Amino acid sequence: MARPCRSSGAEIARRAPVPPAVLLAVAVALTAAPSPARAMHLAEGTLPGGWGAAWWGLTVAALAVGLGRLRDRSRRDTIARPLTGTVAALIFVLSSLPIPVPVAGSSGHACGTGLAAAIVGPWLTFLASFVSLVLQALVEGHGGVTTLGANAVSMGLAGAFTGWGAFRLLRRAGIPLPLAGAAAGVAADVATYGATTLQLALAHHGDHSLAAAAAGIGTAFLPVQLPIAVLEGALAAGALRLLASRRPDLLVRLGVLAPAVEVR
Amino acid sequence: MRAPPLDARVRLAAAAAAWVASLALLVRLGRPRALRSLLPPFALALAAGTLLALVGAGGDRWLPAATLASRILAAGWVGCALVAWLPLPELLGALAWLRTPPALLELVAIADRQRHALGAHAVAVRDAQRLRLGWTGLRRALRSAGALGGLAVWRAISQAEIASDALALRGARGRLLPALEPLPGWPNALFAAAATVALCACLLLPT
Repeated sequence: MARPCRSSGAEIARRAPVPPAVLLAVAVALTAAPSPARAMHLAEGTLPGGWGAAWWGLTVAALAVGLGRLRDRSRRDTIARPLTGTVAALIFVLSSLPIPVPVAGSSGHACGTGLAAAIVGPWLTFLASFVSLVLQALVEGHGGVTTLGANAVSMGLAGAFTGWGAFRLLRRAGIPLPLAGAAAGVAADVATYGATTLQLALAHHGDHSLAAAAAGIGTAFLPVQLPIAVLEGALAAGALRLLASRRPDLLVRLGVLAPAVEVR
Repeated sequence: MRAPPLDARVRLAAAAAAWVASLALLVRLGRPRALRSLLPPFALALAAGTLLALVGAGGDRWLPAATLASRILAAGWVGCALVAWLPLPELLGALAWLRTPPALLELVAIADRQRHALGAHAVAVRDAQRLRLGWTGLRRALRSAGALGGLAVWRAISQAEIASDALALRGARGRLLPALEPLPGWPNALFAAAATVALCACLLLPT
């Protein structure tokens, strides 16, 4: 049955000149700035129930695949489970550790998914991200239970797979390890916030077009996230360089470096 | 045919009721840390509601703004109440009873244990870098960030290797089961169920 249109287009435009999603993104960015340890995730209540459930559904499906991969890897190498757990702890620590950002004049924090994806691969990074988000939601009160699915998709799926893809592509092209790591860090960070932008735009674009809402939200996030993306790249590059020079055996064991190949 | 949307005043009242109920619970619990954790949802709700009210045009902008702010506040505070009431070990026990995959619980338990050691290590590294002015200037800051990440990853992999070697030495090939607490008592379980229902109610409120 057709529903009557209750408002004309002109009236809709008059009533809502700015998409609510953009306002929400500005609010998230504003409230994130003074407390960077809480800046990473969509907070409880920022997504309506339907969208929260949809992202949870995607997360549950990805969890099933990820746990299958973990089971297969555990049969080959007993380090797989403890490693995934400690990588989850690492992501938790990096997400909670405010570090100074000289350019922004404040502090920010990395999420570490790009670095983790380069070391343990995308599926184990997804599991580690999910576990880290669970701990942040249930122990620290960051993020939220209802937005856990959305946060896991943005950080664990979009971030990890984009970072891993960038890393593998550049390594196959012969790019040195630190540079490939830097690209993985930046790509993972940008993908994470791209996915978050899309999630907010989908849920809150209202009468505005999705593209306009996404562009507005992305612009609102940019000043806060750009320095953090650079920081993330530096962190991944420096970490891989340090490990390659001091403990190359660890990288060889995890399959990041081929045995007895000189690190460029 | 879709049902007509719920009156905005009803939605606002429902969100406000959930908000007051969660605040009352937290005050009743009297946990300072939990009360401090109320601030971020409050700041976010205030900022979002104020922006929507000020920048949005039209005469009826206050009600959607108040509804959005109330929903964020209510959902955030109900979540805080849940965190304050249910300790993680008890929650793991409850999740095990709900047939959550053991591997996932195992990962949560490992990460919960390791985060303290890794956190202390990372904070010590960062403080040492600060003392040596490692974060002054862009180049130094980027280099310090790399060293911090590298040392944290190094420690994480070493911890995992130690755990793996210990398992191998004991001949363990299968699961590493977390030490689960007994199931939570009925007051906690009741509260968890009520908080979940309240959380769902908050989220079903459209803006």
